[in-house]
Amino acid sequence: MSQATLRIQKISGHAGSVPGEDTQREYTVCKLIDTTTCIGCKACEVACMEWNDLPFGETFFDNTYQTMPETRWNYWNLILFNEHEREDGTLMWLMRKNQCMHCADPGCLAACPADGAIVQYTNGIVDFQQANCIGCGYCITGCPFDIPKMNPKTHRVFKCTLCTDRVSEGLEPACIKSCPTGCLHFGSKEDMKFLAEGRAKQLRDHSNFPSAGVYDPPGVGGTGVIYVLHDATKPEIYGGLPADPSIPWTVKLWKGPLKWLGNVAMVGGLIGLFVHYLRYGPKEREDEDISPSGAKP
Amino acid sequence: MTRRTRRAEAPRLPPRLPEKVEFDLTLQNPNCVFQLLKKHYSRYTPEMVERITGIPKEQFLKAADLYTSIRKDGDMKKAGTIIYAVGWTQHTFGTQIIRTAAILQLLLGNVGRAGGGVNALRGHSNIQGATDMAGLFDTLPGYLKVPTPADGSFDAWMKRVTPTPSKPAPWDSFNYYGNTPKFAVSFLKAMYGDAATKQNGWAFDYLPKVDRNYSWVQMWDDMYSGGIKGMLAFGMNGVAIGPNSKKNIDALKKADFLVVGEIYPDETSEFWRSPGITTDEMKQIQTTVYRLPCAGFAEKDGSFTNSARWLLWKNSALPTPGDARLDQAIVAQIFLKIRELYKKDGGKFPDPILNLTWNYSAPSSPPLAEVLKEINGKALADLEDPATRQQIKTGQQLPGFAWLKDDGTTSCGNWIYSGSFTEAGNQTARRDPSDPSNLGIHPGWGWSWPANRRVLYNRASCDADGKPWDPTRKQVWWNESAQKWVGNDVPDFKVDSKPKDHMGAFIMNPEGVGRIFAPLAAFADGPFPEFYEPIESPIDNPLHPEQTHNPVVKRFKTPEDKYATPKDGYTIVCTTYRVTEHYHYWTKNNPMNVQLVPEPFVEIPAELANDLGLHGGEKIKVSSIRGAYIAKAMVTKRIKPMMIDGKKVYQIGFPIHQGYRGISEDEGRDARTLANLLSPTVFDPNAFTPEFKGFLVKVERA
Repeated sequence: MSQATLRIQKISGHAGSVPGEDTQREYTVCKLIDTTTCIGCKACEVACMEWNDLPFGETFFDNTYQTMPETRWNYWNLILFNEHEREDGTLMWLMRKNQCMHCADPGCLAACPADGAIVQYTNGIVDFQQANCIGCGYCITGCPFDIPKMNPKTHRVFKCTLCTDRVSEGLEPACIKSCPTGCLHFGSKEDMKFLAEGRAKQLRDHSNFPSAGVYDPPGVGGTGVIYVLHDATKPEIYGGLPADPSIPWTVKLWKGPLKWLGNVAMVGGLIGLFVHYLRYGPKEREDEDISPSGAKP
Repeated sequence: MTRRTRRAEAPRLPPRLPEKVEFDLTLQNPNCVFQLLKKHYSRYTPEMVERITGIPKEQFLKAADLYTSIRKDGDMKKAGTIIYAVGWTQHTFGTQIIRTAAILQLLLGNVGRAGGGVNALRGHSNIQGATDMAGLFDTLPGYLKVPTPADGSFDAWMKRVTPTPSKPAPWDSFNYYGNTPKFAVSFLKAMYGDAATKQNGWAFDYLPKVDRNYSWVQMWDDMYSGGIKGMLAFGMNGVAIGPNSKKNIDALKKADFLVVGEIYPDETSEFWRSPGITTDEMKQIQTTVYRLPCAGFAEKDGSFTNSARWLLWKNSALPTPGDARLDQAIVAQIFLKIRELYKKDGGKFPDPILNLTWNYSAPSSPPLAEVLKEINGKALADLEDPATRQQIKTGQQLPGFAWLKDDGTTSCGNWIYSGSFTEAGNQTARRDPSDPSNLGIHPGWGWSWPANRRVLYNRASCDADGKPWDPTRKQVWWNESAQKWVGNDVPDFKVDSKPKDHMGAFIMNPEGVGRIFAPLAAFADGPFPEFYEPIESPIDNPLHPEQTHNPVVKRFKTPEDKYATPKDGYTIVCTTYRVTEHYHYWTKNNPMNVQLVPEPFVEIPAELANDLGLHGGEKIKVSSIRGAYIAKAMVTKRIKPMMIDGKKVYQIGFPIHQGYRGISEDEGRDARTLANLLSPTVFDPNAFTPEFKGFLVKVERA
């Protein structure tokens, strides 16, 4: 892969043309997570923190091996631990690595009103550009997976980047690199789908999991992160993975039929802004810390 | 460091086996091993397994059927492996568990096969290396048996430890340990150089004579009783890792000095800060503690030996910070200082200290590559192999242990590592990932002992005629035209021994066969493994209630060595373990690991939590007869009550990592108790591993 894969094909809150919109797409990247061979070692959590230079945060024991209840603005990759009792009385300890799903049809991007705060590259990676973020939090509402989280101090939203910086250099994401069991794979969407379907078939045919399958929900146009599940008919048992995720109807309505209303409101807002400027003058820029590590540039 | 405190125990007698033994290939003779084995295990019915373990009969049979199905209809192509973690060894009958696995593998023909074997997963990257290099008190490097005071001379020692063949007359036995004198003389030449001569029995008198048990638990008991006055502890958090922590802490109070080499402050170097010791009591403790800053793993080079016996060289990534020093530098500097004192002041017996070879380019910090070269061994005279006419000049590195001599013309620090650093360089640093045979052999990746052989006893991968059991996965085979054994792996056999000579595949045993029946005194306990309950058990042994525990287990006698029974009110089974998020006792000093698992916890079954009215996250106090552990409860369905001999028995467990020094501990976020305050001072009589994996406790809300 080369830098070319970082051409943008979708931009949030953007009225003009999009550079990568009509380019010949090489391929979409995809992360495959085989929950049936994950041992919950959390190596991927550490790798994510290390590579992305995320700061240490305090955690508390909460009756589980799970590091924290949910992902944080500065903790993008979290294994969810779930004890699941099957109908035959046997117990399964389900572990699911939870992070941004990199939807083909991203709810966050659809909901975002800030120009260029959320982009989707031609390789499928959905990336937040914190410099353009206005802190409205609409992306949080727009996400069916409850992934984006806001830094309460800087009012910028963060999430997994699928290690864009690594992928654009031809490397796999840091989590993939660290996995000791090989339950994580990375490649083209086509290849990962093939691998996932093969593994699911193996589980159905040989491992007594007749409902094993691949999670790649069509409601969000498919995802750039797909799962192999022991029981694909019940994704909810894996820490609330939605069975049929979709972009919330409010966001669809707002970005679809009612978009003209927003434009009117925006023009109204601009007029208001202009009037405000005439009356109060320009606002001094404050130094803001927007990097996830909290380090000053 | 130690002085003798008690009468020497008689040394364990070596196996002296008859020269000729009977055999019966029909396996019908009532005294053949197979019939004895059948008789011995006839008591272990599926019903008995259910009574002892709580595993329902049907589940046990399902597992047994699955595993033994590899030989269905006489199919010899498949191989099955048994992989265990050290939990199996942490019982007073641990060696018997491993033996049982070995017997099962021998019966199924799973030994010597690629993908077979009994494989240990270790808690450290170099446990194998430590035992290979005599990390235990009762061996010398390469598993040579230590001399005892009764041996008297080099020849007497060799006579005792060198086995002689014992086999049916028509068979051959390689009895490779018949070469023990070559290994021993070469070892003594490596240790004492020119000071080891034929006349002085190769400096046999220099070697310490081991008069009794000096294993881990015993050592702390000796210190507790005043026999050991000081201790050097490197990379080993003694009071946290061993059983009965309180006894160990009290032992250290009685010591004169303690030297700890560590990268973080730990519980051992601050034993006097253990919870429960008051300020006044601290003032009474007279032990002098020296804490030396050591190097971390990334700051050291050297080799690791993994569980598959591969030696893998690693380079250091960073220099040591500040005044931190490498382990070998600290040990070397202590040694050089002691030698200086012996030179100056003399002593009762200075010779072993003064004559120890120390020919390193940097004596005060020996480069480890030079140490590995010394371990590999070299020629002390010009040598020639009479068969191949291959020659080795004086001073050259030896190609392998086949060259070792018992006449003083070779030196070798550890015979099994001979071949690791040859004239061709450091073989352990090789990194050729290729695997031409596709059997996972990777012959150019690092180096494995012995002789870069990847699967031991691989002769057993062939039938009696020397043809591989699985022609599609050929490890070694007999080449009729060349009249020798060849293969994708290095044959673990006498290469020119014809199949028709029936040499046994188990060349390290004088019998030549695998030890389903362990003869004479090979083990402290019986020839066949027998099940015993842990020293603290909720039930009497259903097999023989009058002998519930392993009869050869030693119980300690100090006031702090208490053992409980259910009658004392201790009815819950407890076990300890580690979590993947932490590495022993030092990652609790790393914020990243602490973030993953911030606090200690106790896992308890949901049913037990109901009985106690306890919710997850609430504090629980776990007490054994020796001490108490307080942490938050993790209520889980993963640990279920067991039906043991008709009784409902609860089991609980908790990780060992936390203590009273570390990030969370220093912030006062937990009770700062050590897991091993609870575990008993008993150990397996063969391997001396403490019984961490089963003892009795009671629980209450805290």
